[in-house]
Order: sequence, then structure tokens, then C-alpha cells
Amino acid sequence: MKIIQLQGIRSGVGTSFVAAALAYRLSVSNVRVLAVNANPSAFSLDQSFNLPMELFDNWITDVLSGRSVFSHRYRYNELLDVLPAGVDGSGTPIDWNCAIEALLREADGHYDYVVMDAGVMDTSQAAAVRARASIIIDVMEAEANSLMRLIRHRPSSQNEYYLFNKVWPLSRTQSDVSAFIQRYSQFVKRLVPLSVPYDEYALQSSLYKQPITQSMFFSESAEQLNHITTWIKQKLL
Amino acid sequence: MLGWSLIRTIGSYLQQKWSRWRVRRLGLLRCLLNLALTVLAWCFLPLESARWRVIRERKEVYFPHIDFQRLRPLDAVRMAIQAAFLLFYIPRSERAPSFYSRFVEAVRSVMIRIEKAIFNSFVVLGQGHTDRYTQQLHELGEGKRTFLPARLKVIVLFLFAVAAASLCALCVTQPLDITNQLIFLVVMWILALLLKKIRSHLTLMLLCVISTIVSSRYLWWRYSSTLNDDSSLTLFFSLLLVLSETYAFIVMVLSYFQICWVLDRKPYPLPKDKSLWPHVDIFIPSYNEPLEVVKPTVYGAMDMDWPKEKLHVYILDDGNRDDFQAFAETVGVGYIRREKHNHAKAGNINHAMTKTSGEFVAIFDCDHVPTRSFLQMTMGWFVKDKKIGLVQTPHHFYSEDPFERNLPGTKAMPFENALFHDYIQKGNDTWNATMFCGSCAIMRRVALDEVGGIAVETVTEDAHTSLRLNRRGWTSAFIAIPLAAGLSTESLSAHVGQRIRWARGMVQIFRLDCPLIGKGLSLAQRLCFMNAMIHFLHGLPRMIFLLAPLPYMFADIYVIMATAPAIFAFVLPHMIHSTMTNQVMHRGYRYPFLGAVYETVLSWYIFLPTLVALIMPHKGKFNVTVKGGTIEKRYLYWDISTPYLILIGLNVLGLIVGFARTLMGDRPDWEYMSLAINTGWILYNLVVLGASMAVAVESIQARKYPRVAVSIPVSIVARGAYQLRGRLTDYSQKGASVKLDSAMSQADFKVGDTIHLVFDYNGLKRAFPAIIRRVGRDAMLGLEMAEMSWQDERDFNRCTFCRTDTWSLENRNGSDVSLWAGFLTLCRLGVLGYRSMIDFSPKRLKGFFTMLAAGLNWLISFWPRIPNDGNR
Repeated sequence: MKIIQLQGIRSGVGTSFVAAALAYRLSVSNVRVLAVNANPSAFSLDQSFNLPMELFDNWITDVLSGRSVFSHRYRYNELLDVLPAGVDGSGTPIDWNCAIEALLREADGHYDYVVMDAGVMDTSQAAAVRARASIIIDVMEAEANSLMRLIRHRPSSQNEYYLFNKVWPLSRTQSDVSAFIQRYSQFVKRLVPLSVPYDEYALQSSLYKQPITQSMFFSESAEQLNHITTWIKQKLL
Repeated sequence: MLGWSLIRTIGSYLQQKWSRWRVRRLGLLRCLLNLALTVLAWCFLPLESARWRVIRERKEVYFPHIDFQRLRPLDAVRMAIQAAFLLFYIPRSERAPSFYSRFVEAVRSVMIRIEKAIFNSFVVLGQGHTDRYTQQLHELGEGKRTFLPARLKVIVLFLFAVAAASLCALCVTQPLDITNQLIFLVVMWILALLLKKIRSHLTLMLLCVISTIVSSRYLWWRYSSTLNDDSSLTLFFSLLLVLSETYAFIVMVLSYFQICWVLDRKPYPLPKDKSLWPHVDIFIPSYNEPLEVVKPTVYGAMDMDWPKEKLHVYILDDGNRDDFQAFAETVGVGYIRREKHNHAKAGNINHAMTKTSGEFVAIFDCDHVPTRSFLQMTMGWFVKDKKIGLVQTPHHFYSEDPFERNLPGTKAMPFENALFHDYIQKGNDTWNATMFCGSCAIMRRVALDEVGGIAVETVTEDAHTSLRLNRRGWTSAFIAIPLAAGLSTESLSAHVGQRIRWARGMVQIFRLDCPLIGKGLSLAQRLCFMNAMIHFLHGLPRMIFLLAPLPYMFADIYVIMATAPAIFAFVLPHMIHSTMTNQVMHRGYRYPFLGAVYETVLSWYIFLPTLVALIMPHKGKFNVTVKGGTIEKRYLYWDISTPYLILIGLNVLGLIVGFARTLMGDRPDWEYMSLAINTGWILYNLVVLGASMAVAVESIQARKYPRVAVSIPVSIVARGAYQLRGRLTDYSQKGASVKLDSAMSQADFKVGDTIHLVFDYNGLKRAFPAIIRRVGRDAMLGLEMAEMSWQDERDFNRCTFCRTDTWSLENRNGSDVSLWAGFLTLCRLGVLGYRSMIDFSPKRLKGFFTMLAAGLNWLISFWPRIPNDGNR
């Protein structure tokens, strides 16, 4: 069982968007996939799979109360299951190490890939997932804020890679930023050789509450995400 | 009337037919005739019976060439002929396997098994040896090892040469009667056929040897027993032909020598430490070309992967143009102009050499756009081997040359000059005789200074310079990867003009600085250079071949004094072996038989210039090849094709006179064989001449900037914010075509809309604005690039012309074209030539020819066809 972790370099870079697209694309390629929302403060992954917004019971509360992790498991298609996190209203601190451990223990053997949307990278849940991930994809944008964070960032493992999301092809500035990053070998060797473009189709797919690789499969963004999925699978071989 | 005279049902049936024909507006006579015939058929044949009904239902199958909806007047005759043919025709599927076919099948399976065995044992082994030997050659070239001590080597070589020469002499001169000669040749032939299957350097060499022996034997026979010395006139004709054949033989043997072992040199890696990479000056000489043609070359040169402080690009402007100077200043490259414009391109480069100081000089014709990897692929050898003075890369062309454009269906064929640039040069490299071709090459400045710069004495300064470099002991290298591409000659006249210059220049060198004499060259180098030069003397011999059968047709003069069987026993093997060997050697670089067409097109035009150059080598000036123009209307170059027309006329006349004289009984019966041979020869000549005529029909070239056909993934951004995937199918500096992947796009396109074309470059996205000029079916978009700043133009070049893989991905290897397919291609082109001749002939003549063609077509329409029983 391979664990693919997606984490944003900051919030709002589209981590869940990429996670949903990857998970769906993987399931289409005939492997069993579990998409996990490990970011209880956001419900964007749940939204991407068209789950209702009023979910309060979810796998985190299940773990905390000793139930099976899969009590609130949603089947998206024959090969793709989704574990939503909804909004956690309790406010009690969660032992993420335990929770992730329990989750993976139970999922082991049932799935080929677990796609974890861990939210922003400097949270405790992201750290907990990082300790167990087979590959870590840091999602970011080609803009100043991400750039500053990237320069400060110290990768935690050999298998950590950077991925540009929301790349607007007509933007000269974005192009300059990625050109700047490409001049430094410590970044280049960790850069996913592909990026996810951003356009009307990408925006529309969010409105449709479907992964872009499903709803807008013909778009350039979906095409690039398909290639990225293949690239990740290659890395995990 | 019909209803009255016949039974009612038949009457109405015929009436129906009649009205159906009349509705289709068939002529009255036609309908009446066919109706009468139908009635007759019904009267005499039991067409209503079950058996006939089956036949009638399958009439389209049995009579595929007859349109039953629109019967022609004589279709009854056609049906009768077809019916007679069908009586004797057995469909392939119903034929019982005959003893013969079973035998053939058995032999085939045995042959396949033998072939496999041979392949597994010999070929794999042979290829292993070949690789090892090539490796050793490399090491020898690098001075790492020697085979034998020098003196021993000389002795061994001498003994070997003596033995080989005496054996050869025996083979060539031994007189044999026809039967034994036939046996000898059949053995040779079978051997050659076997060798042809095996692809390795060694078998290629053996093929060359066999072909040389057979051809020498032929020539020996020609000189010793076929010269016609009846009178001085016959002797003259006879000698002309045999001398031409000798010339062709010499060129053939020299070219065998040149390419019997090709050195496929790989790029040598550069040192890791970039401080060891030398300074390179890049010269882009230009005289009168438009700036737009030069721009991509300059951008390409600027964008080569090389340390920026060591890359110096210069435009060498010989035309004193201010817009060039302004452009050079804007983009930040050097600009050199001179006061005195002597010695054309050579003088221009020599002048620039005095103004610059890089250790290496790379020269690009102003339309040759280099890819970004050019220097990294070539400079390694220079850094490694200090004796190398020249590294040449192939000239590659992205626009169509006149042959390709004017001969339809030749897109997949290799370029006309691919044979030299992609293959013969590899052979030259083996012998350390790589020729400098004036562009896409790098030279060491020290070496160039030593020989006094680029040679100025001849109009082909490039070849002369490399000859001088070799004389001074500098070596050369050839890297057979297309790293730059340019424009071909744009029209046949320009092509002919360019070749006249080459021919004249090469002959000039031959006279002024003959490679056979003088110091400093190895024997192999002398032979290679020699071949490159005398190759251009093919004008006269080629014309003699085209006229050789005529003396017999007109005046019974035997140019070959031999009986028909003897001719078959000697001529055919000579031709078969040389064609076959050439086919194997040129595999993937030239179609078989097409070389004759390329030569024929030029022969008349280079004949005089080469003759003049032979006699007065100091005459002649440099003419610049025109590039970057358009041809608006399809037309035939009557001017250029006059010599071919005369040759065609003479050959046709010869054919008519020859047959007329035979019919009038001027000849004894035993001469029919000679007549047949000469007729065959004339027909072959006519086909070759027809193909040459086809080249003279200039087809339309409407694009000012020729497009490069590619398949690069791109996307477009349309209607502000929709990004759509697609493939770039072709591009030029000013335009592009994109095929969108899916028709499922919400954005619909209108002509005149502005969109953005987005390239992926090094993982970055680069977008260029473009205007839709054409919306084709299948989501094809024709784009015109919008006005761009020079930085954008440069980026656009980076994403298109300068991609490393652009030229190496192109797939045009006429690999494995069988002799038969090559011959058919030649015939097709020949017929095409005559057809376009008719198209463009004056009106009255055209009418005559059209009628002739129509008549022929009409006659052919009676010929029975094989029923198309595909649905059985």
C-alpha cells in the first residue's frame, strides 16, 4: 500500500483540488484507492467528491471514539473510496499520530494507494502523515508568498517533491518565478517536471463538485494531472 | 410500340429501363442501341432462368468496369470480351493449389529457415565484429593503438595487394564463352543476393567487390571485343560510349571506396569544467537575403547552450544594410560590414576573421537555424583532439526542394542531397576527408589562419578550404546528427544555378589544386576528394547515355559490337550488380534509380560550365543562391526543359524511324534482338527524361515562410480563459497550424479571433499571441502569429526551431525500398512528366494529345478486368 501525501505550502494553493484529481485518476487506472481528508479544518476534498456539507461524524471522530475508521466511508466508484473529515466542531486536540496509525492499520491490504490531503504543511496532522508517506507532494503557486516559504522550507525526506498548481500560461511573472526556481539545483531536483495549469475549466470543475480529471477530463489541467499521476506511479515503483 | 410487340411484363420492364436512362440524360442513340441489344439478349438468352438470375444479380462483380446505371454505346462489346475472359478465368480462391505453387511454398519455407540460420550465425557475429572494428578505428584515430609494427605492416599490405591484384586480373581478363560467362555471373548473382540480406559492413564491402569485378569484366569485354572499327564514324560513336562508361565506372568504384565503411562518429562529451570550454565566434554571412530569413538564425545562434561570455555571434553583412545593423544592435550581437566586397562569402568571412579573436569559428549560412545543442554536440571532439581542424554537421532542409515540391508523392523520400550530407560524408570521415560544406560547421582558428583563411580562388570556397586544411595535416570530423536546418533552393532554376556553381567550383579546384598531386594528402583522401570533383563531370556522359541507342536506330551503327546474347550476358549483370549494390549502400538515403533523374536534370546545364572550368579554371564568379521567395502559379519551365524536350524528341524519333525501317524490311531477321534491346534502352531513357520533365513543372509555393512539419504538444488559450490541448502540426516564423485534441471544446473559433499559443519550454509555459486565419475541419486551426517584440520572437524560436529534437525526429527514410518499387516510382514519375507536358503544351497540340490520351483510354476500357470477388 503506497501512501501519497499532498500538502500545501500555504493554504489556498489547491491541495485538495490536486488530491481529488489524483485519486480519481488513479482509480480509473484500475487500482484500489482511498482518498482521505486529513485536514479537518477544511472540507474541500469532501466537496470535490460531491459529499454533503453537514457531515459531522467522520473518520476522525470514529477513531477518537474507538469505532471502525471505515464507519463513514463513501464509495465514489468501484475502486475509489473517500473518507471525509467534514468540520470538526469539538475543538479537542487530536493525537494525529494515533489517528493516522489506526487509519493505515485498518486500510492496509484493502487498497493499493492511499491519497492523503493533509492541508497546509506546517500543521501537526501534516507532520504525522509525513512520517508515514511513501511520497510527499508539496503543492504551491508560482508567486512571491510560496516562493518565500519554499526558500525557508527544509524537505523532510528524499521523496518530497514540489508541484506548481494554478499556473496561468499567459502570466509572464509566473514564468519568471519558475525560471528563477529552476536556476537552483536544490529545487530543480525536487521539482515535479510538470505543472498544473489553471483556466476556466479548472474553475468550473470545482463548481461541478467533481474531480477535474472526471468532469473536465479533456482540459489541459486534467491532461497534466494525468501525466503527473503517471509520474508519481513511476516514482513509487 | 414496346407494349404492343412484346409480352406485357417485359414490355413494362423495358419501358422502365428506357425512362430510367432518359432521366439520366443518356443520348437517344445510346439508349436505342442498348435497348435493342437488351431485347436481343432477352430473345436469345434464357435470362429469366434461375442460373441467369444469379449471374444478373452479381453483374457488378463480374463486370466491374461497366456502369450499369449509365450504359455506354459499346458496353455490349465490353461485356462480350469480359464474358469471354471470364470463361477462362478461375478466381484465386477457387484455384486448386498446383504442384508448382506447393513447390514454391516449400522452397520458400526452406529459404526462410536458411535465412534465419544465416542471420543468427553470420549477421549477429558480423555485426559484433563490425562494432569491435569500428571501436578499434576510433582508438586508432585517437592514437591509442596500432595494429602492426610499421615495416611489417607495409610488407603485409604489399603482399596482400599483389595477391589480390593478380586474382582480380585473372577474374577480369579470363575469356569465357557465353555459357561459362553465364555460369560465372549466376554464381556471382546468387552470392550477391545472399549478401544483400545480411546487413553489416563486411558484406557491404563484399558486395562492392563483386560489383566491381563484374563491372570490370564488363569493361574489359567492351574494350577488348566490342569496339566497332568498321569506319572512323562508327569507331567514334563506339569510343564515345565506352569512354562514358569508363567514366561512370571510375566514379562508381571511387564512390564504393568512399562509402564502403562508414564511420558513424558520435559526439564526444565536453569536459565537466566549463572553464575549459573555448570561446566560439559564430559567423552568419549574409549578402542580399531579407532580414526575416536571417532573424531565426541569429536567435538560434544566441540561444545555443554555451557559456554566454564565450559565445560571440556576428552578422557579417556584405550588403551594407542599415536595418541589419539596427537589428544587431537591438538584440545585442556583433555586426561586421566591410568596405571592399571582394571574393564574396569567402572574402566576407576572411574579413571578419581579422576583427574577431575566438579560438573557434562556426559558420552558418544565414538561413541555417541551429538548434540549442549545436555547440555541445560538436565541440567535444575539438577539445579532445587538438589536431582536428574542422567539424562538419549535415545540411538539413526544412523547406521542400524543387524535386520534392514538383514530384508529388515524394514526401517520404529522402532529400535529393541527403545522400551526400547524411551518408557519403560519414564515409569521408572514415578516410579523414570530411568536406567543409560552407555552413553548419566549426573550424579551428589556428588551422584556418595557417591555410590563409577561407580559400578565395574558386567559387566553391568551402571544399577548397577543407582540401587545404587536409594538406596541412589537420584532420576533420563529421557528426551525422542534423543540428541545424535551412531553406532549400526555392525553384528549379535556382537549384540548377546552385549546382552549376558547385560543379564549376569543384572542377576549378580539380584544375588549380588537383588532389591527386601535391603534398600532404593520404591516398584515401586523394581518392575521396577526387571523386567529389570528377563527380560533377557527369554532364556529357549522361547525355551520351541518353543518345546512345540512336545511331543504331537511325543508321544501323552498332555502338556495341556484339551479339544479343553476349550483350545480355555482360550488360545485364553489370547493371544489376551496380544497381543492387547502390541500392544496398544508399538504403534509406536515396531511392533506387532516382539518381539518374537527378543527374539528367542537371547534365545539360553543368556540361558547358564544367568544360569551361576545365579549360579556363580562372573564369567564373560567385552567384548567391536565392532563398525565401514564393511561386504563385503552377507553370512549366519551357526554358529549362528545352534540352530535355530535344532529347525526348530525338529518342521518340529514333523509336519511330527504327520501327519504320524494320517494317519496310530494311533489316535482316536476326536483327530483331538488337532492335528489341535498343527499344528497351530508348524506353528507359524516355522514362528518365519524362521524370526530369516532371521536375520542370513548378508547383505552387504560396507561403513566403516555408512551414516545418512537426508534432509538438502545445495548448492554446482561447476566448480569454479556456485552455485547450492540441498538437502543433507545422510552423514557420510567422504562422502555425494546431490540431486540437478534442472537438469537445466549449470555445468555438472564429476567423480573426486572437488566441494564445502556449508552448512547454523546459517545464515553463510560454504563450504567444496569434490570430486565427483558418478554421478547418477536425479542429484544425490555421494561425498567424501576431506582431511580436524581438524578445518574444526569440522565445518563439526557442520553442520551435531551436528545439534539440526538431530535425532528428523527422521521419523520411526511404528505408528498404525494393528495386522493383524504385523502378515503379521512376515509371510513375516518368508518366507524370509526359502528362504535365500535355497539360502545358500549346492549345492545338494539347487538343491532339488529349485526343490521343482519350483514345488510348477508350481502347484500354475494352480490356477485361479481374472480377472483384471481395465479398465472396
